[in-house]
Amino acid sequence: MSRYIIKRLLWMIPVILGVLVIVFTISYFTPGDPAMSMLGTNYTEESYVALREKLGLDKPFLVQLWNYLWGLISRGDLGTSYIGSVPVATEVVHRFPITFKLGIMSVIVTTVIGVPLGILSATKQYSVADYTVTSFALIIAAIPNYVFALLGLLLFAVKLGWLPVSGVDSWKSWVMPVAANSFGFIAVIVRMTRTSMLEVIRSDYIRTARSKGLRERLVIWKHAFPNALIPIVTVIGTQLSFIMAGSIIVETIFSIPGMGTYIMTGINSRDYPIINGTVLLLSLCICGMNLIVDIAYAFIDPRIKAQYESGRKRVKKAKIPGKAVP
Amino acid sequence: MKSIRKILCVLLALMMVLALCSCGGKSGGETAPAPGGDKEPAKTDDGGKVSEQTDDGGAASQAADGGAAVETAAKPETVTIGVTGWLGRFLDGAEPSPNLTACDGVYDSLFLIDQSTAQPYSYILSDWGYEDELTFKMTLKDGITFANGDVATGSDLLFSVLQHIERGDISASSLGDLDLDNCKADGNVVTIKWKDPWGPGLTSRNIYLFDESWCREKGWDSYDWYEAPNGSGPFKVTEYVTDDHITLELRDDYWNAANEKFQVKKWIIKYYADQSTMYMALEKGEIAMAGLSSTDYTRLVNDTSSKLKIKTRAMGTTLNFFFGAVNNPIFQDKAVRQAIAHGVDWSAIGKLAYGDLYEPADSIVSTKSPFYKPQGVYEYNPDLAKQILADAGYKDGDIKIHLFEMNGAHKDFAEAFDYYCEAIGIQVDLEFGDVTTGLMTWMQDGGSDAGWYNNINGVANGDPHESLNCFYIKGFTWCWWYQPEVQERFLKAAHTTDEASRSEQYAELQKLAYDEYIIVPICECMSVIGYDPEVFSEAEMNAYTYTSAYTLLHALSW
Repeated sequence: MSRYIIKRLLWMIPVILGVLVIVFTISYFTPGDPAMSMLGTNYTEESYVALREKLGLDKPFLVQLWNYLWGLISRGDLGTSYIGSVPVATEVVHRFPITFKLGIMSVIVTTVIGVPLGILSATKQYSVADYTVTSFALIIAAIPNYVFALLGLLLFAVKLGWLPVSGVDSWKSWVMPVAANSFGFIAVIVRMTRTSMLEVIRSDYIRTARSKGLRERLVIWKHAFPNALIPIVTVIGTQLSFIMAGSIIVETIFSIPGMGTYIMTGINSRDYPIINGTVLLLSLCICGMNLIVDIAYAFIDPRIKAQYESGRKRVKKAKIPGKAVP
Repeated sequence: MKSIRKILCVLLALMMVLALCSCGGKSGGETAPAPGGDKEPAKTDDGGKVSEQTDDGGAASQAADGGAAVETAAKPETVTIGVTGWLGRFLDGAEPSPNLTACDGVYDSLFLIDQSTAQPYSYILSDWGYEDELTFKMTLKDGITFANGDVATGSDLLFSVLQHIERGDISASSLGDLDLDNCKADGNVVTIKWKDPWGPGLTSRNIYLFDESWCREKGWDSYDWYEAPNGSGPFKVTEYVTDDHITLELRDDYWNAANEKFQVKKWIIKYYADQSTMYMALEKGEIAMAGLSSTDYTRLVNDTSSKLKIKTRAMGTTLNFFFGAVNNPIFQDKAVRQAIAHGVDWSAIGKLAYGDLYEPADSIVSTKSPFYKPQGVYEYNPDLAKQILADAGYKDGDIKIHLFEMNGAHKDFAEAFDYYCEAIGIQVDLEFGDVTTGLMTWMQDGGSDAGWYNNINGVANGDPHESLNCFYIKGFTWCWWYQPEVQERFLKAAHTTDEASRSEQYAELQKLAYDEYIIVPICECMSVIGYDPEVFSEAEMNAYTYTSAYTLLHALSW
């Protein structure tokens, strides 16, 4: 298992490097110019040339790319924002925990609501509960998160006055952003859980378990649910990545000073260090989440764990000279 | 199945009702709750509508050191106000843009403009004026100290003016052609010398008093320009959280504390990335004041249940349409300009820009300017426009215009413009982009054949040299008014301190713009803010200088 984890961690290096090169290249070739953006109406030919030189933008593309990568690898330097001259790492340190907290809370809410509803819907197939849950899932899936966020703000913050409009100062201020982030994904989880559970419930071994006279609760939670969990875990894992990478809208609406608003600032002003730094961090998150999901498989499904272990045994046996590999 | 359908229908209906409840407002004619909610209901003026003030009927601005006191509302010690777009920094006149409201709390301005008279006044100068056409003298008051304890001197004052040139800030051009060798400080007396007489003078723009030694030590790229600026104003920055808020707290050692009684000890300037969220925060009472969009303005005017009040003000500038004859020679034909001037419903574009706040402009100079001379409004008459084009020998499709737009609002204008032009047989090729692409495109010859312009920060005294600066900056290719006669008149108006002569030049320029159809004035630029009357009184809002120098924090100090 540990070999597998190390292997996966090593694989992350070329993936992250690839992402960085692609993002840097796209930023570089996108129309627009950070020097122009910084100068704004103060633009003159001389000031423009001087600023490009100062920022190193006058150098060829490959030199700029190499300088960036070398700075990152050798010093862990994410660069300095063109606007404000603030090191990107400093900003990220403040902002990442906010976005991560938002993401984690959203995933927890999504899972806590989505999984039980999906199980309920599957176990009571074609009942009132099933129709209600699937209709609810359909409706919330159809509402874009920004519409839900704005309507929710109007109702719960402005009209009813229960929640604050913006900020991250109290637990109340997290309610709406988390709800807006979670709602669409709840629908996904409900439908995924329902489908997965239905497939498992119809399996022979579940029929056997029932015929043995096991109580329904045991059949569902001990025999059916663990086997239905694998696709659900995959979706939940990728969700955190999606939520974190896609927090721009929610953070903008609720004025949350997280990574989303930082990316927006970077994109709007062609601030390459911000774009590259934030994308790097999000890529790390996504890779990390995928790794955690893969490891989680092993704990959920003994068959996968056994595969890892049998793979290791195979390798060990192959090293013994004169013996055939089974 | 039927019962399930019924349940689903009920659920859907409930959701729709909830959505409607969250969006709806009460209809007119009702009484609004009094501020605080536990007092008797206060009938709003104007038939139940939210009351609105304009600059016409308000109290005069506070004059320096001892103007009439302004009636105040009882205030909490901490007041939160909202901003959108960018939290800003404490260095003016350059990108990234400053937060002028916050700057006004932290710095002292050399001059402020009295909104009722358009005349300058100053907190920090004891004396100022022209000695002759080329020489302007200012005397700094004694005892002005910066937040770091440094005492302000004439050298700081001189530095504060000249640093715009040192930084290469384009706004330095509005300082005129200074005779730098002869600009000097002697004690607290500063002499500014020009090579030519300079009509706009120093009072037409906002200049903050900087501490020279501190600026030299920190440099212009320091992050201290965000989180730890050093000014002589009444407040200091105690917290700066990017994309979230700035906290300003009253200085214990403010040099002018004896003359100004500050009720508000702490200001929180909260940033909202989204304008509509900021409006909701204002409605809910989380912030006490915020700038409104024209849509929010209309909503607030019609919301009879809201306790909020509105303050509108003309910004001293106009929104204009420019025929970029440099980029597209077709505009050198007056018939084409004339046809477009009559073929486009400019009032529709003005309404797109300002909604219910729309006030048509009848000159390129704002009504707020002392140089304003009314000219007229081009009548919307597409038949006349077609006739003019036909008489000039143009057939449908002969004229093609390329428009590049980057500003969100201007994109709407461009689409409307396209619609009207198409109706008179002119083809418009629209290209949309973002700001970074747009700036580059606009500054290149041929980037955009025409476009809109207004000085977004406003001009407190409405001086055309500031409000119409795009006419004479060749860098903006689409709005450069290329004719030699025009450029000559601009120079004449700038290089004289004789007000009558300046007035004559600007009158002629306004007439030329109208008669030659070279620029179409669309509307007055308006600013509008919503505020909580429990925190700010009407008189305070009238005293609040709202353009160029944002003296909110000073205005609320009495």
